[in-house]
Amino acid sequence: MRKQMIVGLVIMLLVGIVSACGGNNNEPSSSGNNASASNGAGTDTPKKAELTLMLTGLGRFKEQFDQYLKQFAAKEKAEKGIDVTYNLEVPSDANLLKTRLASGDAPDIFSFHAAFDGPIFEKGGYLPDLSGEPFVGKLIDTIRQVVTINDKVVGVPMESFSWSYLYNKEMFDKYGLKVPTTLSEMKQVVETLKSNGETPFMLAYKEASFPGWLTQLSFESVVAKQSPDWWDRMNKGEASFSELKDKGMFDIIDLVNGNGTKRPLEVGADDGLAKFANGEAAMLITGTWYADSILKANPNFKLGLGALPVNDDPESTMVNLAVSTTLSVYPESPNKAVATDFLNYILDDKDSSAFFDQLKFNKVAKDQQIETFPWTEQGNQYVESGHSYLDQSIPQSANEAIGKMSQSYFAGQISQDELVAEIDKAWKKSVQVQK
Amino acid sequence: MYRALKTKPWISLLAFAAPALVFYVIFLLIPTLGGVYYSFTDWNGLFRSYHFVGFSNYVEAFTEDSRFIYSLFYTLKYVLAIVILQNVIGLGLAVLVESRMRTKALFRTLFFMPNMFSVYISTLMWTFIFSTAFPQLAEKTLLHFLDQPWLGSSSMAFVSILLVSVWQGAGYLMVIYIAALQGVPRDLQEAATIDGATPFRKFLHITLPMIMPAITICAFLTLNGSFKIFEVVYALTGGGPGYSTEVIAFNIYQEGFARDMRYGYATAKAMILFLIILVITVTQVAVLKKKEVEA
Amino acid sequence: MRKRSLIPSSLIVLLLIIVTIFFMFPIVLAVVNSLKSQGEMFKSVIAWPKALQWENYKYVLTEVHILRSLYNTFIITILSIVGIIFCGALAGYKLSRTPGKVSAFIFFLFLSSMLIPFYSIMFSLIQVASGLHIQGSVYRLPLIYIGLGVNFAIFLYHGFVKSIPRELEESAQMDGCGQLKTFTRIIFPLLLPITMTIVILDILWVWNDFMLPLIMITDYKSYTLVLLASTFFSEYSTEWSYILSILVLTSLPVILVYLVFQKYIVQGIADGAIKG
Repeated sequence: MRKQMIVGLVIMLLVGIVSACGGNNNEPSSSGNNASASNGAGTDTPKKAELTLMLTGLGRFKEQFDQYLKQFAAKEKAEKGIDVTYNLEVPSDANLLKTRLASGDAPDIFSFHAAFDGPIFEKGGYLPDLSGEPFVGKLIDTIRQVVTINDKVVGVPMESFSWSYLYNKEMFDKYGLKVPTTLSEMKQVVETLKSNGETPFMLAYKEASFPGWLTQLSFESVVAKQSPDWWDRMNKGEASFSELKDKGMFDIIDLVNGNGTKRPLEVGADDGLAKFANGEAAMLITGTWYADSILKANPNFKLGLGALPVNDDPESTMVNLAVSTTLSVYPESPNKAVATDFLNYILDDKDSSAFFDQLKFNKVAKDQQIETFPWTEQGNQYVESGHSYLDQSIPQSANEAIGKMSQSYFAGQISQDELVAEIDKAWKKSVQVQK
Repeated sequence: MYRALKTKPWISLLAFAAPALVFYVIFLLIPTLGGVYYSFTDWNGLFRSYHFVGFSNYVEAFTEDSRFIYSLFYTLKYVLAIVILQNVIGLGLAVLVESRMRTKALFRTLFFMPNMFSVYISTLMWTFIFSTAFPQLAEKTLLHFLDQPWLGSSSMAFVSILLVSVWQGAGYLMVIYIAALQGVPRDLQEAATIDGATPFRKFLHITLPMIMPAITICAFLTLNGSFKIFEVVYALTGGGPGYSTEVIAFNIYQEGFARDMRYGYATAKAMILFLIILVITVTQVAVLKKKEVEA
Repeated sequence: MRKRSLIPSSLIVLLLIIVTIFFMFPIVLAVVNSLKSQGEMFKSVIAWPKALQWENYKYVLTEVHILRSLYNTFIITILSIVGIIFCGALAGYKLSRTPGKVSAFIFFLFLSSMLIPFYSIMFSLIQVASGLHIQGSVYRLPLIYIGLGVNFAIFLYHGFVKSIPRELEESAQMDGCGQLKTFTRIIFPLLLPITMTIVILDILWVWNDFMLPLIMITDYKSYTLVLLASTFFSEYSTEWSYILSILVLTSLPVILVYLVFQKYIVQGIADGAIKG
């Protein structure tokens, strides 16, 4: 037995030594790449560039991006004679990007959420001023506004949508329901559905983001119409959620929570989407970014998009116009020029429409020719008739608190006042920390 | 000659310890000292400059951060439960396995197996059990008691976290306890049997005192390990529902990497965790060592 | 032979069965369901698969580079352990043999660091790692593991060396062996049992570690198996037939190693605890 152990250990050590040597041999190749990238900046005419891209949460689009990057490399070679290689990372954890920005080991190109991460990234000096780039002129005005921070265009918007809640068109038609424009009408819809034995709302509250969206949509609609200066005051530490509570932000929240599917705290996102797709409830508070998943679960599903009413003023019934995925360049990147070329190429006149089509993203540039979906049409109608507001920045920890506290509120663990106080506190702290 | 003898141990000591010291200093000592230093700053992962803020991070953690305080007590509750459960079950398994010599190897293999998995991987497995297998079994078989909001209510989520931890960790302690039980001299037991002691009394008065050192070690291991629980919460509940299952390590992780990336503040909280672990484990070892001596 | 045991034997058998079910059912369910289609799984999680769905595995193997991750994990583990053994044995041996305050102080330095929770050093470690360009490199990440793991190895070696008689090395030195030669020829082979223990404990630690790769490995080409499973899980969240397949695949190496070497593993853990 001893002998076996000795033999085993010797083998292990040998393997270890061999692979350690192998490791050392391999190492220069990986660090060599980095070196060539940074050397490239030093010399006057960079002929080679290795781009590193970190596109958080875009794993499902890896192939499409791979393909597009190859196209870009060919184009860059043909036009400028630069050999572009790239390293595409698609982590799911949004914290990784921040960690790498913080450690100075930043990728050349990265994706971020324009409204949520934009302001803090801008403050940290991680976003460039792209206002003079050719792509800016191509953007749809409202979308350009979302990616403009302190009068600087900070990135290329990619994924944009108007969102509020999704509904089952077939079910609405079956009971002759129209998309409600006021809270009273919504109550009517709920009653009709219930009297026909249907569940009005699909609740998938296992992940805090779902109940969070409900709270977010509710308070943002209240703010948009009734106290537009609230955001400014809130970020100065002079406002509070309790004002919004008094303006009835909980009315719709309680209506949804009170008329939903059973035991939602155990239902995860995909589960909820599948159940919604199979007709277990009529409405689901979330955005069209899930359209693909819903249609995957039930290809015949007729998906509709409505705006969540918060009171009896139909003008307060609005959709949120958001840009989530935005791509930008690290300002101190040694490959900034090539990276910026890629950003421009994303809205390339010739190739961009096909790319966006493949990604199933909505159009962001005026000239893009992209197939629009019925729900996108519905969203656009809200936007065109003035029933929309621009997505605003919510500080990270406040945003987290909104989700988690909404979960606890649903579970009956906390009161409205506690929810309000907790979010206020998180918001205040964030503002203070980010000064 | 005399000189050479005098300096030689010095040089060779340093030469032998140097490789270890280099790695230790760079990757443990410097980060520790850095951590202490940063805990007194408002260092934010995203901004490049930071200021010295004195004790204000520590003050904030105890006075303003109700969620941190909650996570402290929640972790303490978890630690208490797990130290008791893990050791009782680990010892119970050891006695059980030891009591049937023919099948001993087989069952030891089986009970220890969960420990081979990465905690993260086994937690994902349990996520499947809780979210898909249990509800279905409750509905379609006679196991109706499985119909629980395993991850949906804060009290059941606590039970679920304990369940996964015990499943994962009990085998490890079992192995240590088996080794300890084998060290109990057979003749002592036989003598007691001749004296007419019942098995239970024998266990209480002979076995238990004999394995006291193992209990000390196992208590130390579980105490030290359970304070740092992270993966189970990260993968199973994500701290939810609400913030109800947020343990200290998860709170620190979120404070640093999510939320507002307050590295300095998160480090201060981690230092508090360090001090708590230090005080509790040192006390525990001291108390149990004393017991050993008395026994 | 044994007339009276702690518990009656029929009860023992019953208990053993119950406990076995508790420990094995998650693993069994994971394996069985990884071989079913999603639909079949929703019909019944406990039924035996009608036809084995190897497609799940095929899909997972084409979607992710599991072999690359296996290689990464292997390299990280091996390099870390070779480093820990090398540094730990040298230092542990010498610290144990050298009397005096300096030696005691250095030993105390290593020993006291064992209680530091990873979270306390995590953030400044990121600074250090990025300064040394360690982030994202499979070949450099082991440096951190050596730094974090060497204290425990030294602790175990330090204790073990005491049981080796000094005469051996004294006579070797008489024969003209240098100190290093004495160590490699005479001492290190004698340290084999405790080396084995350290190797086993550290394999379990490094191979299965989640936190350090999570914050240090940013490049998906360098993902370890656990990290790979974690990204896969966040992408596929409830497509359990795929997720279970990847969980089974990532666990397979450890389970195989366990079944072959279990005697040593179990021994190593018991020794590690009792000598520690």
